[in-house]
Amino acid sequence: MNLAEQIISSIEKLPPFPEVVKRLMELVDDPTADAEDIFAVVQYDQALTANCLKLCNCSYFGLRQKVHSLRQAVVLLGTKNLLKIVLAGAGVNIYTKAQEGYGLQRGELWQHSVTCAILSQIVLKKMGRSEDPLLFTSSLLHDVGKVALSDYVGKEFDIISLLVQEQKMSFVEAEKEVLGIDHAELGGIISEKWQFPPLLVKAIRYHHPKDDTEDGREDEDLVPWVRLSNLIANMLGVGTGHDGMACRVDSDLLNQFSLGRKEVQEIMAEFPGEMKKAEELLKITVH
Amino acid sequence: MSQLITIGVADMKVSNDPAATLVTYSLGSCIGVAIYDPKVRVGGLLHYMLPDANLDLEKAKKNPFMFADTGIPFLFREAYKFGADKRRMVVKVAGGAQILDDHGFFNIGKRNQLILKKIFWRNNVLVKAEALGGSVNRTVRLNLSTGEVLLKEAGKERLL
Repeated sequence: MNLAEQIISSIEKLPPFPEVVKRLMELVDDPTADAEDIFAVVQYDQALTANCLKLCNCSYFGLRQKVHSLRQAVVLLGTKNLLKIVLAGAGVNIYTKAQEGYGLQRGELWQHSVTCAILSQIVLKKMGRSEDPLLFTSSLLHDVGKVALSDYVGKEFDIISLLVQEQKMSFVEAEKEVLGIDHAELGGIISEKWQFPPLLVKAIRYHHPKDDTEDGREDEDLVPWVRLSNLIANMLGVGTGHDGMACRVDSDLLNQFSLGRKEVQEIMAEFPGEMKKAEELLKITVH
Repeated sequence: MSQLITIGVADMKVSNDPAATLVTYSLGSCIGVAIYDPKVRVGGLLHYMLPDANLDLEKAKKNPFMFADTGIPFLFREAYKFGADKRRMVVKVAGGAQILDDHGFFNIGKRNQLILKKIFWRNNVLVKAEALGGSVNRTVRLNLSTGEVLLKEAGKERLL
């Protein structure tokens, strides 16, 4: 078994993704799903309900009154926001440990993920599009592969780091060169194993530029959105590790959005205010 | 143990509490400006994101620490209120890193560096030490008792 195969087989040791989240993912994909359907799935998971109630009351989701029950939240927040909240409440469980191979302390990868998710919604707004819970979730989960790859990166860190510094490789290219697989590809495999919706699997697998990225249907493909949000999150540096700034920009990414330098800065300028509103997202606990 | 005061993104703090250490994490393309007057032991740390307040004057008014051209003068003025003197001020800067972008659309780190140098040159401010550019994240700690600036860069710590 070569190293890449060993790494792939190691994901068997990851805990299964909660059944309740799988059900929620199906609801994200289902245009007929309503708030009652979400309530029906979440209500029996007490820890998740507790996280959701905390999040409902954070100003990011714009409620003016305090929410005391999930049923009340369902009514007040609407389906899209509620899905974002429950998926965030469940997603935090993936990032329970430190990813020392990447120089990340416990909680830092979650910070980066929340940063990316918030930026994704700022980009959507900038482009005149409505909020998208699936993009929010993709941005939250895009680095799931790091959870499984961290130990291997740690063992080979010196050589990966050398390739980044001396040969100007991006960190993800150096991972692939040294380990035979990178965290995006591994994240794709993990998310397939967890039976995430295909659009989400694709967004995770291709969140860094890759030659073999298949073009998706423009109106539904999340890949460029997650890439752009992740690049800006890396520039901001919140919760990014050793690999943070060593990431490559694909040449036509901004053209796809008809955005220029000024707009990139405008997106960044929106971030501190939105992040402040979403502070509760950083405080929710793992269950 | 010293008290840790955290400076977030687009944020600034000035203090004369010798028991305190000012820290800012997550400097990517943003720049951290640390200033310290050793005589009165007053220090300040600014974490700005973007070069020019003309991008959004309303935002700059609400939060001057977001931009270099509004944040840097504010930082110095705030330190003067605590009795610091410009002539004694020790200035150290870190950040302004770049992602790997051949087309320069994301070269905010470089722009942040350019405006910093321009502002300091115009105002006769000398930088004692700097760790700018590259593709690494940085954390900066300013010890208000000693004025020492501890830099963490790509996982390694050193005095700046």
